[in-house]
Amino acid sequence: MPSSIPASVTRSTIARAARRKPLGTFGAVIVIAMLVMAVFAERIAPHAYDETIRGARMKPPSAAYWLGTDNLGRDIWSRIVYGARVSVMVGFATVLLGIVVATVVGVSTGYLGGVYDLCVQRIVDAWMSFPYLVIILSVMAVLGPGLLNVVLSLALIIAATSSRVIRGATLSVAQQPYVEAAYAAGCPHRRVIVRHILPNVMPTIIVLATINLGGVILAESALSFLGFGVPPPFPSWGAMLSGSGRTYMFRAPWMAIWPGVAISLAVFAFNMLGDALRDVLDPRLRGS
Amino acid sequence: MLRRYLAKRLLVAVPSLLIASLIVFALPRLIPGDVVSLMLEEKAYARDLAELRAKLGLDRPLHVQYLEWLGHVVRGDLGESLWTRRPVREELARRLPVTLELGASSVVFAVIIALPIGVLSATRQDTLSDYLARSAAILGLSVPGFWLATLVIVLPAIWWGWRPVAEYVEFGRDPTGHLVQFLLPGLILGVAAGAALMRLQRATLLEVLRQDYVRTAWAKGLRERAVVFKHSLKNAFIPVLSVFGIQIAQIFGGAVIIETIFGLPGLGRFLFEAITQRDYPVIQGVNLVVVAAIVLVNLAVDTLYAVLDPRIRY
Amino acid sequence: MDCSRRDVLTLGGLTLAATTLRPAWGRADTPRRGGTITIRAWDPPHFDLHGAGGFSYKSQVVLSFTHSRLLRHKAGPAVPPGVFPIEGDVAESWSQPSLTTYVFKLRRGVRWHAKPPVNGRELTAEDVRYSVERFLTTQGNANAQMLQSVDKVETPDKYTVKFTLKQPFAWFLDTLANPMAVAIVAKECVDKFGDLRKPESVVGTGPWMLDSYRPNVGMTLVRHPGYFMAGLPHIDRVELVVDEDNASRLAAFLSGKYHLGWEFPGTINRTDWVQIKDTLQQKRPGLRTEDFPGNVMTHISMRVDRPPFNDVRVRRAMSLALDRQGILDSIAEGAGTPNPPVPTALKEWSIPMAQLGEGGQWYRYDPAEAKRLLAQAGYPNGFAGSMCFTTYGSTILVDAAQLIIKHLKDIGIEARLDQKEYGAYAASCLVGKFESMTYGPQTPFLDPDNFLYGQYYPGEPKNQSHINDPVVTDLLVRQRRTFDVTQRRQLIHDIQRYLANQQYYVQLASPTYTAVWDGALKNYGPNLGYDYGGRLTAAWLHR
Repeated sequence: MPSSIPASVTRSTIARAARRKPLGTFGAVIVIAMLVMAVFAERIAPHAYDETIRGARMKPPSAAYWLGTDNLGRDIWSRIVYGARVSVMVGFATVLLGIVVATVVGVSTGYLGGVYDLCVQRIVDAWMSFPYLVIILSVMAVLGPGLLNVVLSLALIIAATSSRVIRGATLSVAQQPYVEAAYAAGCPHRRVIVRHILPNVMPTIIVLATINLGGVILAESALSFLGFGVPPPFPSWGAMLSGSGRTYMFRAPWMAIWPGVAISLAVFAFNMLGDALRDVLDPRLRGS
Repeated sequence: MLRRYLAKRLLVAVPSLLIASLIVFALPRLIPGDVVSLMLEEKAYARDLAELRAKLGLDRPLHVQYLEWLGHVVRGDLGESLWTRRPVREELARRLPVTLELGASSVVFAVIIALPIGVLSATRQDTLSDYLARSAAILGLSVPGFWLATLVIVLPAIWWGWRPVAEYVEFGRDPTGHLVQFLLPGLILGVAAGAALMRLQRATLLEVLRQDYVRTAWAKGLRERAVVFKHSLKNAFIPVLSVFGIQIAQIFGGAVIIETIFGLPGLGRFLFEAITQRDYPVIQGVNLVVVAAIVLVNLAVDTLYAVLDPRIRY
Repeated sequence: MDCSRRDVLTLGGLTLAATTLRPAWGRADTPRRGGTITIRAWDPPHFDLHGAGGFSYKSQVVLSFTHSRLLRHKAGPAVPPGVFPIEGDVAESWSQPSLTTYVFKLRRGVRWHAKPPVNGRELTAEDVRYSVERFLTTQGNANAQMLQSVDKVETPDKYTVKFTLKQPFAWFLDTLANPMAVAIVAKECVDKFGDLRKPESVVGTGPWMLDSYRPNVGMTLVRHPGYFMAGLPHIDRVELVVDEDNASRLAAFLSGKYHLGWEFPGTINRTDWVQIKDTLQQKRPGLRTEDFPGNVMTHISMRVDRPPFNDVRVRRAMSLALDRQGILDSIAEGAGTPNPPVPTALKEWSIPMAQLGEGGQWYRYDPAEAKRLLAQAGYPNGFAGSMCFTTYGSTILVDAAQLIIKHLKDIGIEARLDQKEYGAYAASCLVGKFESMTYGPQTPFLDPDNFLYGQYYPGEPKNQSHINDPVVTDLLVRQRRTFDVTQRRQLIHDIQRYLANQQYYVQLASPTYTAVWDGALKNYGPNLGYDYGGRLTAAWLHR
């Protein structure tokens, strides 16, 4: 029974995965494209995200403006590129924060159980059951509105919900005969967790992280709709779609279509990549 | 053993509800801008602000307000709205069913979408049907709900001058119309929940299918469907259940957008408006009831865990 | 006839005259009883006009159908939008024996709605006195200061009400006619229900009665058979629909649900209008429209009590930096009107931009001159600040804010957009509690006094810019005591000329209102303000 995280996924594995996982590869390509756009936004985007080009209001897609311009005369392609930076920043920061907290809570409660589990789960229960708007508004109360608060408030929600799932996975792994055997054989808790529990809940964690990466992008757009998203001047895809995109959807459909496509592609890519990664990283799958 | 477990869990729920009540009370008061400022807006003379605060009893020490509120809650009195003076309990009773119906409708759609696709794509892993089914489900998830809802409402109006849901229909007035109006919003919420459920279903089912006992069953030549259902689905249900609990929890807060666009007078909108109006008793009342409901749902989920997987220790 | 002029203006260039001038129009001149009118409305926080929060337009719009005032604004196709002639509501006639006394003679036979606990009894002078007193003394009535000049109200007989003021107040009659002012309520209701917040307590003397209230969904109003204007209202039922999403409203309007434009007050946003007018022409060919300037005016307020905004050159530079027409082009399809300190929409009081004199020059777009002024003031490289802001749920406002930030940046002023949730905004920036700048819309009043006095009188919460200018203060007090309308207008114009030069607030242009109403709705004239009920009382539905 292989029981460690693959330290390195070999090149051949990747090549094989790409062949066997076309959807996952597609996802990976999109995610990489997004990362590139986020990092090199200044070089890729022909215009600044807030540059209003005179005489170029609501121009349909053309050679000059690949994806058209919006009602303020801003180049939509440039805003999509900069929007990738906002999405990547918000997405990764939120998920990293949320999943790390969730893993610590989920694995420790699932594995240790007992009074500790009961107590922590009550807090998680209470936290999870708050409609997220209350949490988001409260976080804004403490820190004032802005990019960071969207991250923090969404991370808090991810942490609570994911810890539940990770705990569930830990519970079922901990009951496996080999884990019980390892424990019975005198392995210390830390070693059992690191060698047996973590690798086996890793697929769940990865699945969760990718669901949530897509989920955060969706959540940010929903928050934008309610007026609590990433505030201007940051060009967020969610705000572009729910704000002026929705307002001008008939006259300038490209104002809604492209941010919408960006959101959907990103969510789709993260999900597909997550599925594929899970299959590749699954210890039991590698042998087969 | 199960009975003892249940009793223990119920007992533990009491302090957790107490903690929750404290959070419920404190959170809305952390939000900057109080109810009195909103009632007077740009005509807020300092003297009037202070007078109104005193009239509403908001000038007393917080712990006094908290204990008083808790005292009323224990007697089943959730107080009344600072704005409308209508009892919170009455308002909840009016709006809870709407959200529950919306939730039920979305869960039904979620399961209808998730189960077949999840099973199909796990048993036929890496085939064309797996790819197509999964892509379709994930595509459904990847479109923001408010955008789907907008298109569903606006496009027919533009094309045919027709609008799906005109105005909330009460059950008493038109039972069929009442149920029908939940179909579209339920589907939109269900698509998102269903895709998440499907992915987890698939992931877990794949995991279970590779467990030794399933492989053994497979090797013994049991028919595939029997293997899947008898051995796998039951175990694969555990994480699915926990996601389910979360979905139900978030329906209360997450349905606000769909309720707004489709004009449904549900709990999500009620709470959202209460937050924007700083209607403390309403925020507290709704949250407390939701928290209590979720604690119970989670208890039920954990109990089901225990029933489905007897190896889980109590 | 004014009506026919309107018909031609109607649909401003997008419809053929034939659609509105077809033969049936002749018969439509005769009023008809009956029908249901459906209007997009807002869910009122509660129904007590005098209670805390009751000044919200959400409550006022509903109660404009059910309650009467002493005086009201004349309505109908003959009244051009932006003008508010006064006529009696429950008052039949009135006189002003001295500068500080007003005597109102009430109509006889004004009946309350036949609902408990008032049960259709006759309205008396005592009801008026009670209502004014309640208006002035109810804790948390934010509008009470509208009548702060009232010293006492007496009822010499059953049909006479006498007001005595503490000091002359030239806007007194306008204030009584204002739809935000004292609605006449029944003491029995207050006695029975404690206050008037619940829907059961909505009992008035107005043309319609509240029949049912469905929270978050809507309200149904039915005709008040005992309404004191014989034969009115013509329309039997009014459905007020709570519809909180613009896409949903747009779809509902396209499908023919609403008789009036869905935005306040019966209009359609320019952005939406331009997008759907062609579709509407096919789907609802009889629609009628009228364009007029809106009275919602947005402005940048700033701390003029401290640097850098205490320097008039900085404020002028900010005004010069804004491309007002460019902003209108971006957010309102170019349709709008620039505003002097009293919005252009208030036709009788706003000074024409051309007459602003010296101050008029600051309304042009001249970033180079703006930079020069900034340098003169000691900020050659500009300065940094923050701009408090809330979205009011409007993408148009968000777009405008982004453009303003951009224009200020062009002359070196780096304003960071400090977006707040509305409640937080209302408790801080809206009432002047901010450090640097605030951008947002102002309450759309119907008279210049409310615009000017609140924004410029020292110590008023609405004085966001913290202005304390003795010249303005003096003018503000003087115009309130000047009864001669021509002289008062002169004073109001003087104030605007002075203020234009000072730029205590940098005012932006108001987008044009496009009022839209169903072709079947006759004898209706759009106007500014909350008085939906008043504008529909004499209207009828022709089928």
